[in-house]
Amino acid sequence: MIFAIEGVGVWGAGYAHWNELLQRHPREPARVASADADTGPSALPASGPKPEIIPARERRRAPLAVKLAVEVASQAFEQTDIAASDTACVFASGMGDTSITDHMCRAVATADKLLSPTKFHNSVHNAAAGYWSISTGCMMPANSISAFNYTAALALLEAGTQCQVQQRPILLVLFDTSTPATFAGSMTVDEDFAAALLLSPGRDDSRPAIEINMNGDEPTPSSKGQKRDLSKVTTANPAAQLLPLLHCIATQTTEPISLPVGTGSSLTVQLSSSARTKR
Amino acid sequence: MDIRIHAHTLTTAAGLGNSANREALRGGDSGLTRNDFEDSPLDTWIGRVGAADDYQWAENEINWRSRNNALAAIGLAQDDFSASVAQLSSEFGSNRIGVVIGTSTSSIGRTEHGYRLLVDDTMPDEFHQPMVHNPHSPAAYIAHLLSIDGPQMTISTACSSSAKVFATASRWLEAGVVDAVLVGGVDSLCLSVLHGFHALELIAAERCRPFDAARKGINIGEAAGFALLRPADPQSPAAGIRLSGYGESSDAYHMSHPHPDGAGAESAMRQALTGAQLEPEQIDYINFHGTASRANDTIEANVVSRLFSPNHTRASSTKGWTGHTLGAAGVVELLIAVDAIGSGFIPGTKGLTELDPEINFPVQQDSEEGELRHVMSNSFGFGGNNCVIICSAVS
Repeated sequence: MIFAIEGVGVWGAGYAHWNELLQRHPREPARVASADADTGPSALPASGPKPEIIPARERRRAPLAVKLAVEVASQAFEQTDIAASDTACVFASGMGDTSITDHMCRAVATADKLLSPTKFHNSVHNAAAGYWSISTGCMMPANSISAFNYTAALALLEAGTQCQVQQRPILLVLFDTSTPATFAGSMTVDEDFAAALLLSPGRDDSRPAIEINMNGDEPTPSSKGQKRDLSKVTTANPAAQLLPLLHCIATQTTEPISLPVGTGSSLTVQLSSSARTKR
Repeated sequence: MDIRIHAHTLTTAAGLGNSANREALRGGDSGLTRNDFEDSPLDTWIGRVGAADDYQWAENEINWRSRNNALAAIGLAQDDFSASVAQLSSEFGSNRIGVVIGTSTSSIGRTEHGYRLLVDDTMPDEFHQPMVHNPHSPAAYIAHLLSIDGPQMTISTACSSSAKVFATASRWLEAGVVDAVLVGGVDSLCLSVLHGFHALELIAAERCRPFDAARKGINIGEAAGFALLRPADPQSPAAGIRLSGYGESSDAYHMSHPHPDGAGAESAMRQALTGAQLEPEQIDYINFHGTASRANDTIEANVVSRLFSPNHTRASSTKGWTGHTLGAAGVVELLIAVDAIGSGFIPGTKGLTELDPEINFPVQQDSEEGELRHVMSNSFGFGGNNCVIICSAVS
């Protein structure tokens, strides 16, 4: 399956915007970007991005996970004429919004079990998709998925099959936020990260393209693509498993990246070699 | 592509397995009981699957322990479903079977339990379960239990979750990603959900009464339902039930209130009909989302009345037997509709005594015998997430 990349968004790992990630990656894959004073990563605000597409009153109450997801989704539409309101979407998170999980579990551990109604409706895994569709007026289908450590791969598979079968653009958004201390015994995510890809079906020579194919086996951990992870985000952040692909897009590297989708199967994603890029 | 439901099973408060649920719908026995879940003080009714209370976990499975995963295991054990999966796994290869499961609760009940026992913000050791405290737990557990190696994914879009799994599976099969897909949904009782819906003032103190003039809100239930999807087998062309069409949309209106005109719901229904290449009058039975909330029932019934005629189409809500099973509602209610094709029995709407005068469609109160060819199931979730599925008898 081949898809043209219409736009990319990123927030996290020291980058507040896809343009920042592009500037920090040299065209020659062999050189590694260094974090010196001129080109060092920006300090990202701890409170997260403030995506203007969410109306101000709603933005104040929106959880960090929602703001991250909507921010990168907005970035992906900056570079194209495709309308957000016309585009189906797949939102994906490996851990979901653990800060709201924490709030609810603490609340129901008390005798009163009083929950904030706003926090409860924001606790649905598809809250980000809901805020996005409301903010953009988008009535197209919206999906919200999870697959723990396979989340980035399944997001690519779900978005890719939608794009392929329905022959229309698709927005893919991945996000995961740092986990509260209570989760430390099970799973720790140390930093916030979100990324978005806007894809359209088929190849277009004016845009970079990616190919996605299913394999029969789970890849070995030493898959080449994963050595390219230049971020400081722990690989335990499920959404950040997209970083090696983003790096390949930024550096026009066509090395295949193998990502497991199950205990005995994987998919391969790579920048398509015959595409010319203008960035 | 001609996609078939090759095997299916459901487990709800009304019974374990297909025939128990069929008999409950026929005989009228609701699965709802007064709320006595953990230490919840809420005055309401719930749909509880008693078998999940004392599920015995094998030592080598203890890392998966949660009520939700127990319910998944119980559900998979009914109707020889696991054997059907094993058969296709052997035929196609275990990595050519996909798993797509809908859930809204996942195992948050287990997380809640761990939080009650926190010491210095740390849960006791037995709660250190990485595969449980995340949304993907049921899908991962099901793949593990049935030794399925293919792509595994969770869809979590509130009450439309386990309807959307059918749409995704249809696309994966059409794209040739896998040769069969195990789809389904599992949601379990937990305090966050009971008290969250209560905070939104959506819970009824009484048994729920979908579409009733005096309805006061929803009852929460738990359930597990599964279906095995595959392209029609040329060796058995008449086997199974056809997955004829699906429709998905967003309301783009409000996180917890449906679009007042039902615009998203209508779009999803129209897409499903178009995909199935059917006219509205060909739909014999609709299983409403019909939660017994004041907003949903009026809006949904009036969309149905705009598109369908009661001369051709019967429609009922079965949540009076099962409760609102949230992330499992999609699959449970589709399978109730699918079962009605085989049994020739159209369920009524338990809890409905006097139809709300603002509703323009004669919702089926009592059950009826009838031959069904095409059936439709509606599922609408928070965030304005809508999914409609149509299934058909194979001629």
